[in-house]
Amino acid sequence: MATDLIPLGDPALRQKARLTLSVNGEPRELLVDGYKTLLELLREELQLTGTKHGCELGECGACAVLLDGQLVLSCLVAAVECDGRAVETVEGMQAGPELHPLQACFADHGAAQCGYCTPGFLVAAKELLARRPDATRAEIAEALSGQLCRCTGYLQIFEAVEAAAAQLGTTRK
Amino acid sequence: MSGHNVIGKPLRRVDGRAKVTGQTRFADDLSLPRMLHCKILRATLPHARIRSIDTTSAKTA
Repeated sequence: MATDLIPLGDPALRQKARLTLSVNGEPRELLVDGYKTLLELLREELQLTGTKHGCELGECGACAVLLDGQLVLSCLVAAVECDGRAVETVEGMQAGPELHPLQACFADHGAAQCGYCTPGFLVAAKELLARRPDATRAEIAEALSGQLCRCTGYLQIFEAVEAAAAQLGTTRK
Repeated sequence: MSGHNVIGKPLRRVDGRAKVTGQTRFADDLSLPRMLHCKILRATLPHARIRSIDTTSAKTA
């Protein structure tokens, strides 16, 4: 008999929890099932489907989001852990109609082919550039090593991150 | 080559903007009214004959 990965029989997981958190700068209050992950909270409760459901095992990086500015895999974070915290997803990267330099450079460098891994890459790259504004190619490769792309290849992605870093550097100065 | 508008020039793909903003809809992102959900129940024995399937827990979910 196969055992469920999530023991849904556990009454604690069946209970709903009231959470207050900030999502892309907006305060949200919601009632969430105890067994749900942060990924499910974003996609199913808030309809923010830009964050992707990939392997659900923490191997592919498609579900990456920022939790209090830290890069996390939302498929491995319980929703109830996020009470009082700030989440940022790909939907929060734009400033109005203006694309974030990373988004514009990904589009211009052909760094998104099928696009499924793109939100995770963008969020991971944003976290890197916040910490290392002039990251080297090796540091970019290291920071993005948790994100898997199965079509474009990584070269265009590295080039896009470098171009965005250059743009961000010039706007800061 | 100077007469061309497209050939030899790097261009954004038509759906590039949607892809970098998380707006592209993949199959798993669709949510329709009265949508049914399925789950794969895998056989625990190879090459076995299925005589019956107990669907009670699926129907109560």
